[in-house]
Amino acid sequence: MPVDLLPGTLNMMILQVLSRRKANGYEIAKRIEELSAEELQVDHGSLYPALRRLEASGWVTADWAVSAGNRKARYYALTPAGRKQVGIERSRWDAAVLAVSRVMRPA
Amino acid sequence: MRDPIDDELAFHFEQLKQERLAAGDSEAEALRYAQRRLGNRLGIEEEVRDLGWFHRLETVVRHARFAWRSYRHHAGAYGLATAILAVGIGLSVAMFSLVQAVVLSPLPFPGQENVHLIWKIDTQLKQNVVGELAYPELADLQANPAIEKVALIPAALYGNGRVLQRSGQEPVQIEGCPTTPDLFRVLGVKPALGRDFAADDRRVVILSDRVWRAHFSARPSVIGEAVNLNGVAHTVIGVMAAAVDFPRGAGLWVPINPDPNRGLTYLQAVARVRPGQSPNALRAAVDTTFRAQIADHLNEYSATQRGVVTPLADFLTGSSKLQLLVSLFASGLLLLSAAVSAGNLFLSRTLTRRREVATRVALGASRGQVLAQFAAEAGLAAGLASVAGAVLAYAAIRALVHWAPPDIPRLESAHLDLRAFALAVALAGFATLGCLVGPVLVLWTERIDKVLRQARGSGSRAGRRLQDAFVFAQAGLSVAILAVGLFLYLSDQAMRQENIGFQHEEVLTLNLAFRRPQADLATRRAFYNELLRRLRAAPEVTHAAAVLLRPMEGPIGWDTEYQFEFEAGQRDPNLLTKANFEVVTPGYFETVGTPLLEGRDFDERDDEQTEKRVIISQSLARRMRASGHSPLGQRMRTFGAWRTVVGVVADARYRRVVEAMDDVYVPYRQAGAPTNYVVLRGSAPVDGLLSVARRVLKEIDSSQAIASPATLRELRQRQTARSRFSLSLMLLFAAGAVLLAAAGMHSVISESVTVRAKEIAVKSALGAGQRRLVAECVGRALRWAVLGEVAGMLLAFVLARALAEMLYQVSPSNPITLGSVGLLVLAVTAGAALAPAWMAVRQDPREALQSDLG
Repeated sequence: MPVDLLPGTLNMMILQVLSRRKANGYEIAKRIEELSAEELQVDHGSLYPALRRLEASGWVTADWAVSAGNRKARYYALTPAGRKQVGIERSRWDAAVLAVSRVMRPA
Repeated sequence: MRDPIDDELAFHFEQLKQERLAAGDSEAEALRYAQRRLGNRLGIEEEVRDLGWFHRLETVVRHARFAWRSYRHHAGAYGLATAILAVGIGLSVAMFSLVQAVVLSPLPFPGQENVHLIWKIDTQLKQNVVGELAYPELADLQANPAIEKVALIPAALYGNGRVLQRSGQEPVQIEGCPTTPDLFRVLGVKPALGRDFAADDRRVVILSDRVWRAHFSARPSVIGEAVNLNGVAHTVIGVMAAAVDFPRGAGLWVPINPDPNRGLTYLQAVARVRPGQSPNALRAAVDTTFRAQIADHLNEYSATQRGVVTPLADFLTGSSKLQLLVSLFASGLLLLSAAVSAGNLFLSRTLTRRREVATRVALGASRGQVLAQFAAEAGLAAGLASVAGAVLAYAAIRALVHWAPPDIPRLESAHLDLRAFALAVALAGFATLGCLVGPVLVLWTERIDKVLRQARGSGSRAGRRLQDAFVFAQAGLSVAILAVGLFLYLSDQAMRQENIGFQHEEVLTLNLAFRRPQADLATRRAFYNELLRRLRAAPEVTHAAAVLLRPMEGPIGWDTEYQFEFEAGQRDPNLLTKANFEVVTPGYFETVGTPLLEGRDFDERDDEQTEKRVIISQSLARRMRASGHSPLGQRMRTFGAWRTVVGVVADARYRRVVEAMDDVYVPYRQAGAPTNYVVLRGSAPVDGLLSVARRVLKEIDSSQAIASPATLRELRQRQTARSRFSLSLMLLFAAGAVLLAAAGMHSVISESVTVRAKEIAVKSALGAGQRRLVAECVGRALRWAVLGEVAGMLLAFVLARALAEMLYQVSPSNPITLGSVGLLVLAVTAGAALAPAWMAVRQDPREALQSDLG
């Protein structure tokens, strides 16, 4: 059953996806869904405001390039600051997951 | 630059469609799928553009533009904050410019900190009378090792005017300053043209730049020319540099008459001292000279005489320094109050914008970003305020310089310079910080999620505490400023209503000193006799008389020591030792309207041949009665002769409106001192009397000149002009402060009732009384306002004690004064608090409950 994104996790996952390779918006959404084994349902529309904010924070940059289907698409890539941010977000997330799962451990 | 979001979305949409087409869906199915996954494209575009709109721009510009939008959105509150700040900044900068011009900017005298004025006091006297020096004391001071150079000049310029005569032109009287040779070397200045005084100069003159321009058309060839002063030829040896105005008002300088008489005291010393001496060391050094005089010249000097040493800058700015600093301080308080007010408005806005803040934080904005936005908004308000404030300051300086009494030195040089503008900008920065206190406190002390929750509840605690502090501070500041303003007002009223002893304030007074070389007493008396006779004969004139020194000409006058026969060489403890000395012609008292209480006025029988007579003032008569002596017929020794008391007149103020002295009058034919001033009363208006005087003077002696005509009323107003100036400023500041306090209170209550609208509505719907609800709304703020007022009264008390010198017959601890100020401010703030509370309570509860504001 597909689950909704936990609030605040979209940015983190975009950064994670981009840490492998650069991607356009469609690819990012698809990658998140694939990587979650289609468990997570990304609201494709909410991707773009999030990308703009990451851009503004200086974590990603964007440039036009030609897509696999030979069409012009805007590709996003991590900046060095963004790469660092992925690490930070990941460890923060791990800690949060650990803490929450401790709480949620069956009695 | 356009955001490429639509292209991106188009591409994304196409990809989603292709994905489904590839999986075998129909065109329509694929389209529906893509639409569903991507959502509302227009909405996304708009959202991204909104973000991109300011993310793309430089951060500062972005914040500024957002701030501008936000500013316009909240135009009411922020516009008010800006206006408040502008007024505070404008007035502070204007006052600073005046203080800078008068007090801070250096005098045109190099090493001015080493130049001091020296005179004496007698510690044994009950009165604080300035003791002047005589010419022979120059040598005494020159011998003092602490002093490098010293010069003597008269303690007051009046009576030292010189009539300048040029052929074919009306004679003019010019303020002259007789001086010993070193005056300019003491001051460290040189003539712009020609040379300085030399030790053996006689009948030479140095012109001021002003006189040189006005009467000699700024001709450089004037050096070496002969000019006629008081009918005597003087050689012009120099023209002083334009900046030199010392003593203030001097139009020319001439060598002093070296009179060896140690009793002829009318001078003060200007000395350049050796650098690096503390004020105490300097006074002690000067005292050694004055102590030596007591031993060296037996019976010439009081054994209790001491030196008074005043730095040149203090001497020149005098009491105006205190007045200006007080006004500066008050404008600072007003600015503080303005910053508090603006800060309060911003806090209120922050509280009402909590939901916006919380939403933005939830959307990923950091606290820093939110704060930066508030900073941009506050900075925008403060920036606009500093520009508006600078404009206001410029206007205020012009207005104040125009409006200020003319006796504040160098005030006219005040202008809005770079330093003042830098101050305006600094103050704007300070105001920004003031405005940010609220947002910082709210953002930093509270967890954002709490803020989000609180957006639906009642006001935040930190915000409330801060508002309490604002209310407290503003009530206190406005009470303090208003109380000081009221003290000054009462003082001014006391001065205005003071009976100064002249019933005919419309009397015209003229400086008409008889100037002629080697004129003996008889010639002079004949001149005044003839002058007064002809004046009285004129149909426009009903009364005419002459006097030594007209009332309220200045704080320095002729002092006389006196002793009564009944004292028999012993000082009577009831009597003072010095009185104001005047020489008058018959009819003087009737002319100015000083009532004769006992005995008779002088008449022509009181001439050179008969026994010498004197009229005394009521206060002196009262002192005599306290010693058991009826005044009339008593003999007193004054100005070198025994005189019999023939009359008692009402008390009158001759030196200053606020200074009561005993007065001693002698008839003009029995005194060596001249009657330099003519007083006129008549049926014609002042201008008419003046032209009569000019005509009559021309008839008898065309070489004489009239100077500084003024009615007694004008003379009195001149003296009180400064206090009225301070008063007006203070009342202006006070009005501003009270308005700010009211505005602050209003915004606090408005904000709190907005936030609590739902709570109020529920209570009201449940039947709570309107009065109780209003009390609940305003109670807390009013309690803080009252506490602030108490603190303000204490502050006012402390301030008024520091200002004692400026206050006349006003007690700073007067509970009625302080209480009435407190009540007034309380009434205004309570009114400002009750209005919005009452309106909120009377609102239909259904409306409030339905609105989303709660």
